[in-house]
Amino acid sequence: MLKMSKLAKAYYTDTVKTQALQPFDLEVKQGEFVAVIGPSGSGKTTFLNIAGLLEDYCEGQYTLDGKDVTGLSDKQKSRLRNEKIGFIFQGFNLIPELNLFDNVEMPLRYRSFSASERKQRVMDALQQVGLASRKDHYPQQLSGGQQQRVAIARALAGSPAFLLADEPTGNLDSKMADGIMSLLKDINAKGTSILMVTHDTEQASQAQRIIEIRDGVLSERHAPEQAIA
Amino acid sequence: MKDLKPILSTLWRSKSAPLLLILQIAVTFTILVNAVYLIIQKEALLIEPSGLDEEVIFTLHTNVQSSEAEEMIALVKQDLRDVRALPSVENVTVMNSFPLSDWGSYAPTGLGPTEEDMNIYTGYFTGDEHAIAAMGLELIAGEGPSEAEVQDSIDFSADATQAVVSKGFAELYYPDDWRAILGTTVYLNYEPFIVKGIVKDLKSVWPGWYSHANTVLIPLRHISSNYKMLIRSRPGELEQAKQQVVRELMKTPGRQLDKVMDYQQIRADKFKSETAAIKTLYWVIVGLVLLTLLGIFGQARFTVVKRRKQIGTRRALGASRTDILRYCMTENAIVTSVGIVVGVICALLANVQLVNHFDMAPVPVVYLLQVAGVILIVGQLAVCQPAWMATRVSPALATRSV
Repeated sequence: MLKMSKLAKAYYTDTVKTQALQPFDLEVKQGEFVAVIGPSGSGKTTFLNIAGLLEDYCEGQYTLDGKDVTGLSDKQKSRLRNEKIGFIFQGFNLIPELNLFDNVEMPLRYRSFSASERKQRVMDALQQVGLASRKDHYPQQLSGGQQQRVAIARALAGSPAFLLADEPTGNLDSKMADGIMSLLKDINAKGTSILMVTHDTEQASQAQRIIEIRDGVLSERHAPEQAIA
Repeated sequence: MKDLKPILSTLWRSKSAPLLLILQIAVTFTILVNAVYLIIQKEALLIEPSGLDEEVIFTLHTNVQSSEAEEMIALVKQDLRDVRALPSVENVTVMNSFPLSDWGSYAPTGLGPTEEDMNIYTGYFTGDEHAIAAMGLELIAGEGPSEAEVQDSIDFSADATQAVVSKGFAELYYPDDWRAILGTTVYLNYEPFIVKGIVKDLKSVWPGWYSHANTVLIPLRHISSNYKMLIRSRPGELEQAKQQVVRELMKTPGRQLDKVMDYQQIRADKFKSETAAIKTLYWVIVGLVLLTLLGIFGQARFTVVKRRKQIGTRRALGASRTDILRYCMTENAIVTSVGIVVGVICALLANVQLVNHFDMAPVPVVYLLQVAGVILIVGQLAVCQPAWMATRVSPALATRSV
């Protein structure tokens, strides 16, 4: 579903080349829950941005759901992001001026869904995260955990090939974090692949696989399959 | 218009900045519509035909070297003969005043001799048998005065009994059939005059006057110690004619010439204040449009800077650059349109005041539409750069913590 071959990323200034990610290979299969861990500055965010088509890579090949994304135009990448990837951000990134319904509906507006289909998808997604009854509320009327649930609903509404979660519990207390992790595992159990970047090793241990990034080098740590059983 | 609902929701939830912009646009619109209308009205005055063949005409004031009535008349006739004989001069006449000049006469007129009948004032000109031809007026009915019918008048003392009137004058009294005025008697200053001819157009001295198009031309050779001559040059020989006439008249000892002016100059002098007002209004418009442009630009740019993270999120969630551009342009179009709607109401209210206090005609709807179009375009132009800036926001911004 997601395959990266000899992928590398470097940043250049006039005189200095900074290798953010050393060439690496990675494959995430349909239905897998993969955690990416590493200390600050290790290249986690760069990896996440590349996986989410938010940033270009310098060399290698990236195939997403069978489609080689190398050399795609900005418009094609936008479309692919919209259709294949569901993003969950650490800061939720909800739009404060829009109510929950409109927030969840927002990415669907960039696709050719009819209004009734959009409505159906939004309500299904909100139902899935347990917030359908609060569709007319605004983000600031919710707790952090509820806001992240809305963000998850937004990610799910477009039926993506996989979820890309960037520190999804980073801004939450432990109780809310547990709730979110539990929700993510439920979603994964229904067949949606998840690639989660986190600095929390305990949460990472709940994934099927753990990829560690250290100084731009990716390595598979272990496969704690028993952890999600 | 798939962005409409989220844009409206966003604007509704954060009203203050859009409201200020709406207010600015509305004020701009109000002033702009009325300023444009004032300019158009004033410009219409500037180009309104006087009825004269202005390109080949010039006028002058000169003195008569006598104070005896008979001698004055003889000297003026001699002046006219001398000027008419010049090769560059096609015709010449003596008049009491000229359309658009700085001085003129008017008279109460009516179809009867009583005070109640004298219900309107009209522009009043005198001229000899050459006046119609010299001015280049178009005689559209009846005939002009013959040489024999022209009386010599010292200080309006002669008793003329005939008149040539403008079509405007004829329509005033015979709106259904203006030709019907021919041969009828009209009263000027309580004196009867038989209408002998109708000219297509002859304007009064005062543009903007309610009776500007209603004039009469009386067959009088009006002579005073300082009389006025209107000279028609041959086509393309205006400057030459001016020089020849001045040279010829100055042959007379004691001659004084004043205000030797072609009609371009007379017109420019007449409309000096209007021209200045138009220029001022133009600058007001330019300033206002610029201010609005800057206001919209500043607001749009501020909004983009404030929403960088949000734009990055939208991009990450699948919005293409075109989607972002369309969102920004649509948002601006909505704010501008609301401003225009408020502006239309304010402009109409302001116009009602102008109509009531300054006797202006109500502003036509077409001006509202045109100014609305201009402001909409200005708004879209102003938002181009900030919108383009928004499209450059990287989707990777969505994953950054600041």
